[in-house]
Amino acid sequence: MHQRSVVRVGATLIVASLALTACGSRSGNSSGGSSGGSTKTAKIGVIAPLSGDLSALGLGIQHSVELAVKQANDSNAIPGWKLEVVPKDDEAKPDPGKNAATALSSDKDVIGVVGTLNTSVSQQVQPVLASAKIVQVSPANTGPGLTQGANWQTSPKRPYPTYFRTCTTDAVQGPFAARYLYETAKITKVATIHDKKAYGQGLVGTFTEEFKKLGGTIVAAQTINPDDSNYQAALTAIKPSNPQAIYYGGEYPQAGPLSQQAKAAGLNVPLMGGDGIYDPKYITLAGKTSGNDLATSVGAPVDSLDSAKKFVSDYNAAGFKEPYAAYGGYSYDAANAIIDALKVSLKDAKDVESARQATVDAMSKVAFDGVTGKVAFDQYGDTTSKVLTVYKVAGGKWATVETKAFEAK
Amino acid sequence: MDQFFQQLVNGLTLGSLYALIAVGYTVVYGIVQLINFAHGEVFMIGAFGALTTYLLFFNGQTSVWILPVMIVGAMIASVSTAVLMERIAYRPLRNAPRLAPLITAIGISVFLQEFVRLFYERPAWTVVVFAGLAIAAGYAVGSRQSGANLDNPVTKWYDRAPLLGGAAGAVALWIVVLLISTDVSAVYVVAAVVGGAVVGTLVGMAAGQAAKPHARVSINVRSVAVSAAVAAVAAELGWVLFKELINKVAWPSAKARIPFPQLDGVTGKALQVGGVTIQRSAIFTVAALVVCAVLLWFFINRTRLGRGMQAVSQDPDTARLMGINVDRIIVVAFALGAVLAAIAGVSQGLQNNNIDFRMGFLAGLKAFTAAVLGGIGNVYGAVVGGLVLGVVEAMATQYIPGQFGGSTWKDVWAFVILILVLVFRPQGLLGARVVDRA
Repeated sequence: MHQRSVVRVGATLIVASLALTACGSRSGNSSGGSSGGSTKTAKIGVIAPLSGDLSALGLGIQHSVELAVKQANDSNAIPGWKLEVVPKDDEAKPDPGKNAATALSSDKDVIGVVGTLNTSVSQQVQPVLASAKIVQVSPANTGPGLTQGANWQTSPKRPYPTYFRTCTTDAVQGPFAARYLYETAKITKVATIHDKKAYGQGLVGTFTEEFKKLGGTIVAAQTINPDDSNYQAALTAIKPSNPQAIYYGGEYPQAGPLSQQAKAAGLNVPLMGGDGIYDPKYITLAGKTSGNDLATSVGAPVDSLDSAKKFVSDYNAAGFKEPYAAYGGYSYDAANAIIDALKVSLKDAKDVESARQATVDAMSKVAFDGVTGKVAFDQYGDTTSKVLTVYKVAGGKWATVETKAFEAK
Repeated sequence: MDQFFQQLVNGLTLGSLYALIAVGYTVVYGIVQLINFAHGEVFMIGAFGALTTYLLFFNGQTSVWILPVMIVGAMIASVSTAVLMERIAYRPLRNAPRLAPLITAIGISVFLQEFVRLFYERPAWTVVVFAGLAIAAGYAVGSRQSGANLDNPVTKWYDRAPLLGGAAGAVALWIVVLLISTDVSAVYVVAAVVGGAVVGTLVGMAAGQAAKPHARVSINVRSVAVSAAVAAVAAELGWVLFKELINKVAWPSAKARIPFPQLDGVTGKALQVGGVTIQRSAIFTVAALVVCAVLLWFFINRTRLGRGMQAVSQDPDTARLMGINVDRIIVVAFALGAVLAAIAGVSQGLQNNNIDFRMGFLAGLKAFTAAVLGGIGNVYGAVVGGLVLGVVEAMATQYIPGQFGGSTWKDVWAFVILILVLVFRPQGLLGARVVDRA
């Protein structure tokens, strides 16, 4: 008897709450529609670290998207529609990122999302946005698995049709470095070291494959622990094989000391790494002996491109508090790619929700000249422009050596 | 064969570092039967002390003559940390169950790591430390002046109230003055010191009045005034130091690794002996161990304090009856370990060319392993254990083939050795010669 009453009360409560929420959402919807009047609103979300250590990069992403949206609104790029930016903080951590994605996907007006900065965060964000058919364009994720699945080296398969990115991946970065060393620097014997993390291991894997294909030899392959600060053991193992260069997969906190210790141990060869070591901090850690060390990074240096000059001047004119940082150009292109797709999908759409699938379809046909070069996506959602740049340490700074588009052979 | 000698050199270098730290574990254990798990952090603070000295006085220079000054700076930082640690965290627990100081040791270890991480980046917060030190200095001088026993087990805080109140009052006034103006001109300094002394004395007397019903000793006004004056002067002195030195340096963030200064002669291009590469910093490390070992032997066997340490480690109660100040011996043991840890900190900084606030943890564990390997409580055992551990680690990375070889497994082998030693020869390689109760 007692139990039954509990069930009855519970059921009543659930029904009541469902009815209430349904009412709430319906009224919210109708009020949104009526206040919009003739111009309807579509929202573009931003998921990036807006607080914490990486907030400089995240705020640069946010502001660049805001700039693109403002320009689109000013020029009335999509007649009858007004765009709005909804920034969400992911703190560079997967869980807050997932919450941000959930919040955005429950908003009926969100049509696309620019973000995230970190590959690990994107792994959590992708499925949430994909289930709501919201298109996601990342300006900064370099993990190849995001577009080509976990087995991207052997059998690439696109996991989420809603995910795109405007930066190149580590699958291109490793081979690009291999070609530079073999073809330009004429180096045939290389030793590799990585830190066993996904980024480093992947980078060294793709580098090794390409370097061997070109005809070079990998004379030694070593690993280090990411928490170590003394790399004598690995360097001693490498030294007898007399490599002409060391290729390192990992980030600058380890790479800097590694370079210094290699030179102190008599291994006087350049160390090369990916965008994980392309940071001014690398040079302070590696010390005076780091001259001639090399790094690759995705894209061309933003201030060197003609197409970027307008972006830079517009950004500065808009008066944002924070600079556009490393990924500003990619974020601006990502937002413009979404806006380009919306021109097609929103034209005849009644509301945002019904236009989501059309936006995803339109994304794969997007093609225009962006800040970072030509913006277009291949069948996996990766950018077709595979421009990378080699940098070299010279005079205590990273100097550009060459910017080139990577072509598969 | 070159490979073998190369690994031997690497192992001995690594081992020397472990040995220098391990002595600190072993000396303290030999005397108070306490594993000071915060000793790794003493080593870390030594490295940071050296770096701080460098940044304060020699930023940008590379002459080798800076090194001795850096080592002195490292020693000051390490020794004061170790002595404070002993006074605050271990001495009050001297008669507590064995587990209690072990837990405080781990707590202190985490505290010191976070302290360095937070304060190194924000030197402005060191003002708080200066304030605390000023109160401590005022209290210390005042209590000496009053001549009263303030450590009464029942009423000690009531007894101390007037002196602490005096010092705290002076420092409080100093803080108020600072909030109004951060000027360090002579007028301000004099006003803050004199005002601090007067206000401190008044506060101290008020505190004394309030505590009077419970206090067992009364403290004369003169001691309170002295305590207040010393606190005021110390606080002002600290502020001048802070203004003139600390605030002028661009401190690197301690969250990430910090580059350690590179000095001519001890870093840079390695020497080639046949096919073996010997780094200059490795020579420094091994030489430091040799010098320290000789001095240590001399200290323990040929000085009064050293013999006192031996006596206390054999039987503290009898030693006390023979007129040895056991508390003092314990402080000396902590300081001795800290001196060697400071040298190890500098060596590691020179070798790896970077330091970070977590470096003490693994180094401390390895050194502890070395101390156990050699026989904990035995100073020579610690040296031997450190060298053996270093060489084994280097050889294991070289000669264990396949899946389980390579540098990534070196920590695994070190701790496998620890377990094997504890199972098959718990007294260690040399046994416990200094302490015969272990």
